[in-house]
Amino acid sequence: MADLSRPSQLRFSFLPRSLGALAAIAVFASCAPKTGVKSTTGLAAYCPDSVSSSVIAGSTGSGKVFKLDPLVASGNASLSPGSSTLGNYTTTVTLPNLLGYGTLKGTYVDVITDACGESYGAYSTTNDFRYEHGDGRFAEVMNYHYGNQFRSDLASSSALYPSGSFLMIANCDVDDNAFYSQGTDSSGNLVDFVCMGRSTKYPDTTSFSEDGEVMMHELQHGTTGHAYSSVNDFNVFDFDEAGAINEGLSDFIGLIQGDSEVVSPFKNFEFSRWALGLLFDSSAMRGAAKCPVWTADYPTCSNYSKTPSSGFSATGKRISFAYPDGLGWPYAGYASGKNPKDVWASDLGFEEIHQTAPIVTGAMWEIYQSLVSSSADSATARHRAQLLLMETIKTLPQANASDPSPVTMPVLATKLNAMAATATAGAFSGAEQTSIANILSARGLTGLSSVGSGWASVGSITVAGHAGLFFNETSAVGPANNRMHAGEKGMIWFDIANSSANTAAAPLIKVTSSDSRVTFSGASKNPGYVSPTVAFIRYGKINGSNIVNALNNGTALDNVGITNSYFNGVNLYGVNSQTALYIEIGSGMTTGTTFNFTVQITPANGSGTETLTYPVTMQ
Amino acid sequence: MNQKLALVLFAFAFIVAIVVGFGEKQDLRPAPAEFRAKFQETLLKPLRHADPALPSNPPARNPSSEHGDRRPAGAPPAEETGEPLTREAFVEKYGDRLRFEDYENRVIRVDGSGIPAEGFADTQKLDRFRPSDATEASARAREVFANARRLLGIPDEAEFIQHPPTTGEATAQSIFQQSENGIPLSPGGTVTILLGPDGEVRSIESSIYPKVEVANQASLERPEASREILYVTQSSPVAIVHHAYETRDRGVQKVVDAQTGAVLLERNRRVY
Repeated sequence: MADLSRPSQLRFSFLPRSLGALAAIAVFASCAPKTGVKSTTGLAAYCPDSVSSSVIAGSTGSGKVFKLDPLVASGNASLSPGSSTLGNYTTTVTLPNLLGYGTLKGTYVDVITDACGESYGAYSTTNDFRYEHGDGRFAEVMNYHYGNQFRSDLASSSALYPSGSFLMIANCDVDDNAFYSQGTDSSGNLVDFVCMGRSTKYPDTTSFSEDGEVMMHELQHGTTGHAYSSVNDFNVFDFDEAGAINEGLSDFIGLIQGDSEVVSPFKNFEFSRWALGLLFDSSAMRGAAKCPVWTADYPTCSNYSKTPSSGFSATGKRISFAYPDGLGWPYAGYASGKNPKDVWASDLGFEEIHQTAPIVTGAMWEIYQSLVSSSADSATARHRAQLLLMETIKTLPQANASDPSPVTMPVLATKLNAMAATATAGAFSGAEQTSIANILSARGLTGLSSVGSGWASVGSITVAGHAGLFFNETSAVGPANNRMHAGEKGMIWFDIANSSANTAAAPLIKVTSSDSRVTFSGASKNPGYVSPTVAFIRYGKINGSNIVNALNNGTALDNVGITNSYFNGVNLYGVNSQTALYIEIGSGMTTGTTFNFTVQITPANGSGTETLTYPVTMQ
Repeated sequence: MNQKLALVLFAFAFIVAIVVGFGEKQDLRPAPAEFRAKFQETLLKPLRHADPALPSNPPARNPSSEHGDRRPAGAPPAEETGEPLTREAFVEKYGDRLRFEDYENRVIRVDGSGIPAEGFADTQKLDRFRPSDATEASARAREVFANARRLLGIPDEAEFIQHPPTTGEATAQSIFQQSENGIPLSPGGTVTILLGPDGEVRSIESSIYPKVEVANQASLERPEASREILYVTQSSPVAIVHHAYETRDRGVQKVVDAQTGAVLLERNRRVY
């Protein structure tokens, strides 16, 4: 039994060591800038006093950019984000598809900046946008160049969603991050935008707008969302597989859009070598390889296998990005040859959606590579891959009363195979269909080994007297001691044990409280809220004995120490609020009162739903 | 005399205004909030070569509603849409290889995404259908929706708004949004219909609420930059909905009760 009785180790010690971690924390941060109400003081000196409301220039302009990012532009893998020489590596490019207002407003993207009070910064009656790197408007030009390049390419692929001009905010008021979301206009209509933030580590020399792959990543989030539904959300829970797919597809799009620009010594399957790779204390880079950067056989990943006994090893320090057992291992951030045990012990993002994305990224990248080999050229392959992907997204299931989070990686893989076979997204030859199917199977995304009936049981870990259940007070009555008391609010997780040899993938958890005085907090806390006594959540995975054995096949020095229960199989549970359910305990629940949580578990690779009962005695 | 004095003062003021007002460089830039609204409105207007199906301006306001509700697309004429069909009749009309998923005695999913083109009979397709044509896609979707109502467990009195379709070269997606007096329920309450290249049914996804109870009235004025919704605070066994106003401030979604002003939901909707 693991020693999990020390709440100080479990309570929100989720230190941000990656972009994903920062994103997770931002959910609770009240740092959202207000739009439209900023003071006009503090605007950059270059902000135009006015801009034209009529056409004054042509549809083509020129500007200076980094080709993809400063590293690729310079060809120098040692270039520092703090270097004063970054400006030496810019290139002058043509800016097509402008609407002629003298701003960076075009058919496909519309670029503004927070440096000018959420308005236009770059302005030229001759469409001359050749700003030097030290000029804040350089970031705006980068946004236009890569935003236009990507979205016009989607149009060429018959895969442009949404069809209008997409708002991009350069020099956006957000630290160490970038994101896609929606705002509302004065009439309450939703408006899509991406926000390209700044670096707090290198505020004077670079920003997230200088990484072309990151811009296209964020724009693809908008594309994915609109291809899926103009109304319903793609991600439902903060840490569901739809979220991981969303991140993986955005990384993939960044890779294939940047593919033709990557030069030696850089790898075309590594995503965001600049922003994620260099703008943090340790690398948060991601990619499409079959194994992590820190394993010995990267980048060839010659030991890759979806079979746990060969693809994973504690003594061999071997990890494979195969579904589901390879989910959650960080892509980068550790020195080569790092022991998986040490990574497991120090990394707390095993269910975080950016960190669980590389399997999808990798499978899609390999499909693209396959299409490159069978298509006339790489541009044709890219267009085919993009159309295949967007048409597949359209067929993914929507949330319903039975499953509020129905998009999983196996579902995506099944739909990709089906789409390739129907010719709806263009004709794929028999050989191409076979190749796509083989790639998805090799990544473990199809043909999953299932967990048989009866695989689940209540986990053996007891915390503060609650068997199989961890309660973490967010509003305590008396000392916060993980014991349930009347009047308290808190977060709960359920320890679920898996007796199968195979890992239970993406288990959907439906929880019912037997006592109406123990209720689930509303949808602000629980996106899977159904009623006061019913709520859904989805866990990452619950290990089977095959992966447990593979990662504990050596000495105590090497063994990772994971087990086949949720509490000691995916993460250091409890630090990870995105898989918690939030409850409120009514005042009438006196000491000694008993009730049950009924937990119904439906994995992506199961034959049905398992039902477990967790009895609780008030303390 | 007073009139003459007033005239002189007016003339003087006019000259001062010209000298002071126009003699200096003026900041003609609109206030940020106005500017934002302006370009966002521009953004929402269709481009010359844009797909006519998008962007999706909301339907006109319904002046007859006490809440100034949006006018629902409403049920189109029966002759245009047809009647609700039984499962057998639906399968015969739209595809005998369609797979149905049921929940509580109603269909929540119809899946035909894996059926090859030849898996649909000619009678289950439409001649010269173009998924890129918003009008054709909308009409076909209305027909499918009307025929599927009974299967989906939609009560006769339930009202739906039809959103403009998302069209494409290969497929067209139409969404019918459950509503009350033109106000959309949210989240959920949708029927999503995906049509293939020949107008065949590729999928139907339903998250409708068979039973709905409205828990309050809208008495507060709708704030600027918000939309009125019927926010679903509980989805089962009966959907309990509140008149509410929704805003999104740079991706932070906030839903407030339209009667009490209480915050019903606040959530970061940023996708990083």
